[in-house]
Amino acid sequence: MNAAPVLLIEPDRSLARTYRTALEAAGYMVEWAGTAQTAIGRADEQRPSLVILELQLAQHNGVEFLYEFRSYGEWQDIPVIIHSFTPPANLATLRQTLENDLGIVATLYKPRTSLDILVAAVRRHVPAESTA
Amino acid sequence: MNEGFSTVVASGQGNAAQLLRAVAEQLKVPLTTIARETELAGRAGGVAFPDTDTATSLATQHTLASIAVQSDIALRLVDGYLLGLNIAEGQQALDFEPVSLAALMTDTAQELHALARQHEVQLEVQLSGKFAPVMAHAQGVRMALLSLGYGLVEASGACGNTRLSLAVHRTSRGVTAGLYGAFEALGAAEWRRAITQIGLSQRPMPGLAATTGAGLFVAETLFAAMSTGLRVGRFRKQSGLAATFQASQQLRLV
Repeated sequence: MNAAPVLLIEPDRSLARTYRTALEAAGYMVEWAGTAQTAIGRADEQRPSLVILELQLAQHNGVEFLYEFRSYGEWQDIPVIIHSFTPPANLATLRQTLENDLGIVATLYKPRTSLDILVAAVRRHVPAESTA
Repeated sequence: MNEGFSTVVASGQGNAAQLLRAVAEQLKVPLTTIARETELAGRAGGVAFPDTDTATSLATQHTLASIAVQSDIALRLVDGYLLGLNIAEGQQALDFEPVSLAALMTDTAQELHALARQHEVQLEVQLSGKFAPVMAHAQGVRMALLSLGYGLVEASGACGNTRLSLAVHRTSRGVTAGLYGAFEALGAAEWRRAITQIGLSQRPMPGLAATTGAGLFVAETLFAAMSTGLRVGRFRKQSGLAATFQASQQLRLV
């Protein structure tokens, strides 16, 4: 059994370090990417069991990233959690697309999401240990 | 743009409004960092400070809890301000729906619990009777009551008030939701003057709040954006700030 790999796409380095610490303490192996481009590279190196995505990224927005990510066959069934500073109300018009077409399994508003809530959301979709 | 749009938002027109919005959005990042770092440090507990004695460790935990509460409040006030701005500018639909003020007030009391404990203020939910739902923007009212609570709990700590009533009661205008305490310095004239001082004075309400009283003005911004004025009111010999709503005609079952 190995620690399940989680790809954390978080542009803020300080926040990324905090989330990484919390997720690793919960038994996950965390790969961090600060940009969409880096995230594709990281996923290519090691297929993640789950992706945590901030929508507000430099150069590309998170939705653009998702369309590209889902265009690769081997990544189409990887659960993605949106964990973003974008308020849920602002995503209302995108919700159907995000859930049905882009396979989002949860949407978390970052300022209101404690570390416990984030870890619990990850656990709901991927156990900390995987057989991969 | 809504009529009666608050001075707080109105003062931020044009470039200033864009600047304030950008600053508010930007503030979320460091505030969230503080909140989560504090949470992480609190989890570590004694592990993070292995050489400290019990008293120091307890004091550290107390400080961490205080930082966590303050950063959470600041985040909610930023969200409240941005929501008020979005409603006022029409970027967020002002969808009215039946809202139970009694339930919202009970939730507000729960949310304020940690801050009230820090300021040694006792919260009392007072529901004077049963009330039909009112037509309101649920998220806006929830955030406005919470912001008002932050402002008045902090004011309580600063001016020696030890009890804050979160009340829903009937008035001649409709169903009123307000927060009341022993605030001698809170009168209609002081409140009007404070509104005109926002942005011009570091302490718009010197007799009430030791700070800018941001919670009060975020609440005022939200209520104004929803065309529901926040006004000075009285309840059971206490004074405070309150907003009045019309009961839903469709759902008048009580």
